[in-house]
Amino acid sequence: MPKLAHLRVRLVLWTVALEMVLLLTFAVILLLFLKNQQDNQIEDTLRLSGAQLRSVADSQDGIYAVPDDVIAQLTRREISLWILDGQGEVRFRTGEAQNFALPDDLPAQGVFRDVTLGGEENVRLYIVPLAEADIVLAYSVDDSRAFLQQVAGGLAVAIPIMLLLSAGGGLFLANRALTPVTQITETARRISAEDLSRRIQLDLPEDEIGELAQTINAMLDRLDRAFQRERQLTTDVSHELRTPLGMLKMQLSLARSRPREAAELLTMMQAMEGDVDRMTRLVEQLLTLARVEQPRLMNFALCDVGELLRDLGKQYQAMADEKVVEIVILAEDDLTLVADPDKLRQALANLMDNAIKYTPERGKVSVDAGRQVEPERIGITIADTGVGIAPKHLPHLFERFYRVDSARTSTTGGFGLGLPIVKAIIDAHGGQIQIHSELKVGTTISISLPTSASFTPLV
Amino acid sequence: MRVLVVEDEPRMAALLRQGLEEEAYAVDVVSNGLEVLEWVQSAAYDLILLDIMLPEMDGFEVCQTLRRQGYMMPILMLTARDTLTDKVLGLDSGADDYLVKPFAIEEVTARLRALSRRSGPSKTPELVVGELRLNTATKLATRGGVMIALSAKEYALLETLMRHPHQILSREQIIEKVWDMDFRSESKLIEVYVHALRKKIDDGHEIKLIQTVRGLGYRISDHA
Repeated sequence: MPKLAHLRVRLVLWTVALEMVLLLTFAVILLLFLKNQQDNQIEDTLRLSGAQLRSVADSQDGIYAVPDDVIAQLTRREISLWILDGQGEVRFRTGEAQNFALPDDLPAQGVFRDVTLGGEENVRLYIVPLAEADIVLAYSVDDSRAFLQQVAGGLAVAIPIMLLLSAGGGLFLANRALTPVTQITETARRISAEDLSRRIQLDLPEDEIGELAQTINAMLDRLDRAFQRERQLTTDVSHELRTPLGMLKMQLSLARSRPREAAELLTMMQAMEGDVDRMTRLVEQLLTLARVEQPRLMNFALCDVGELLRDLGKQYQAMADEKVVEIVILAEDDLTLVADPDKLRQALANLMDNAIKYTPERGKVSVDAGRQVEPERIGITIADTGVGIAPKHLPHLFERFYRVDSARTSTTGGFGLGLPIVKAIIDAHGGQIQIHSELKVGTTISISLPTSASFTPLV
Repeated sequence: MRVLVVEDEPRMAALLRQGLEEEAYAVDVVSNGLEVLEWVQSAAYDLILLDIMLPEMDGFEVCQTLRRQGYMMPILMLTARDTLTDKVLGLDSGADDYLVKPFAIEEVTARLRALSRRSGPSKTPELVVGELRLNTATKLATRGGVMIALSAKEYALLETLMRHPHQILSREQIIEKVWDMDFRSESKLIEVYVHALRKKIDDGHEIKLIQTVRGLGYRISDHA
C-alpha cells in the first residue's frame, strides 16, 4: 500500500502548500491594506489639524499662540506641535512636543516624514507654513505600528493553525475519497485467473470511482468469458484427442498381447494409422481456427469472387457427378474484393462440400454471387435441396465441436469445427454469414462481404 | 466367463470384444443403456464392462438401475473423464471398479480377473481341484505339476467347471458362461470340447476329474 499512502500524502501536501501560498498572500495584502489605511488616517488627521491651525493662525496674525480649545482638540487627537518663527526658533509647543526637542531633519512642505523623538517615540511630521512661521505637527505612529504588529502576530499564529486544520481535513477527505480505491485494490488482488467470477461489489455512487469499479467489472466479465471459452476449448480438444488416443492404446496393447500373423498386424496398423490421421486433422483444423482468429496472419489481396466460385465448381464437379447432384453457379462479372484468397476459398469450399454431402441424389446446389448496394457489399448464397437442419440445431451451428448428428461419434465424421472455421474466416473479412434451413427442403447459406472500397483490412 | 460390453463407440467395442475373446471370455456387445437392461435378463453375465458416455441413458443410470433390480455381478466402468466427481459418482452408483481411457487391454482383463476373484472364494488367480490347478491370469493349467496347453474355449470351459467344484452344471449353464449370444445351443459343440478337455486332463490319470452326470450335465471333482 505504499503507493496509495504516497498519493494520500501528496494530496494533503499539495493542498497545504496551495493553502499556505494563498494564506500568505492574503496576509501580505491584508497587512499592506491595513498599513495604508492607518497611514491615510494619520496623514488625514495631520492635514486636517494643519488646515485648522492655519485658519486659527490666520485669524490671529503674528501671534504664535493657539487657542485653548484648539489645543484641547489637538491633544484629544494626540497631535503634538511646535510653532517656529521665521528664524526657526521654537515659540510654542504642546503635547509630546514639550518633552522632546524639535528634530533636525524636518520634512519639506506638504511631505510626511517619520522620525524618532529622543530615541523612543516614533512620530510622523507634517509642516504647515504660516505667513511668517511654520507649524510642525507630529502624530505618533507607535499605536499604528503596534496594531499592525498585532495583526501580523495574529496571522502568524492563525495561519499555521489553519494549515494544520486543513491538513487534517485534507487527510480525512483524501482517506474518504481513496477508501473505495483501497477496497477496489483489495478485491482486485483476490481476483485471479482461476476465480474470475468475483466482482467489485461496493455500494459506490455514480462518481468517477464508481465508474472505475464498473469498468473493471465489465472488463472482468469479458475476461471471464474469454477464459471460460478457452477452458471449454481445452476440454473439448482433450476429449477429441482422448478418443483416438484411447483407441490407439487399445490397439497397440492388443497387437502386442499375443503373437500375431503379419497380415493381422498390418490390418491393425492401418486402423491405427487412421486414428493418427484423424488426430492430425483435428490439430490442423485447430491451427486453422487459431490462425484465422489472428488478423495479422491474413494475407489480403485483390481477388474475384466469381472466378473463385467457378473454380470451386470445377473442383467439386466430380464429387457432385458421383452423387448425381447438379451444381449451378451464377456469378456477376467483376466481383472484386480485398480478401485473403486462400482463406476465402477454404470457407467457400467447406460450404460447397457440405452442400453436396447433405444433398440426396438428383438434388441441386445453387451458388449465386452478386453486388449489393447500400452498403456496397458482395453477397454470396449457397443453397441446396438437401436434408436440411432441424431448428433446434440452428443456433449452435457456429459453436466449436457442436455436432448436429450425434450418431456420428468421435471416430467417424467431422469434429464440429467446419462451420466455426467458416464463420471465423468470414468474420476476419468483416463479413456476415447466416443459415436458413428447413428439414427435407434444404439449407441456404447467405454470406455478405464488404468490398475493397468499404473495407480496410486490419494489418 | 460371460462378459457384457456396453460401449457406443463401435470400433472401441470391437477392440474390447477381440481383446476379451482372446482371453477366453464369452463376449456380447451392446451400444446403449436401455439394451443392457434387456440383455441382462436373457443371460447370466459374470461381469459387465460399462462405458459412462452412452446415448439415451448414461452409465451411472444403467448401473443404478441394474443394482436396484438386484443384479449383483461386478461392474467395471469405463470413461474418458477422470474427474474425482465422476469416479465417486461411478462407484456410488454401484460400480465395483473404474477405468479411465486410454487403457491397455491387459489392464481391462486384469481388473476383470480381480473383480471375479472378489466375488469368489479364492483371493489368488489360481483355481484348484485336487491336483489340477488353473491360473486365470496366465491361462495355464497343470495337473500334478505337468503343464497342460489349452485352447481359448477349452480354457473357458475348464474355468467354468472349476469355479463350481463338485457341483453339477447343466449344459445351459455351461453354454451361458462359455459362449456368447451368437452360439446356437442345439449344436453338439459342447460335447466336442468336453471330450477334448477330458483327453488333455484325465488321460493317463486314475482319478477322472471331469465327470458326466447323465441327464443333468457335467461336474469337476476329485471325488468319485
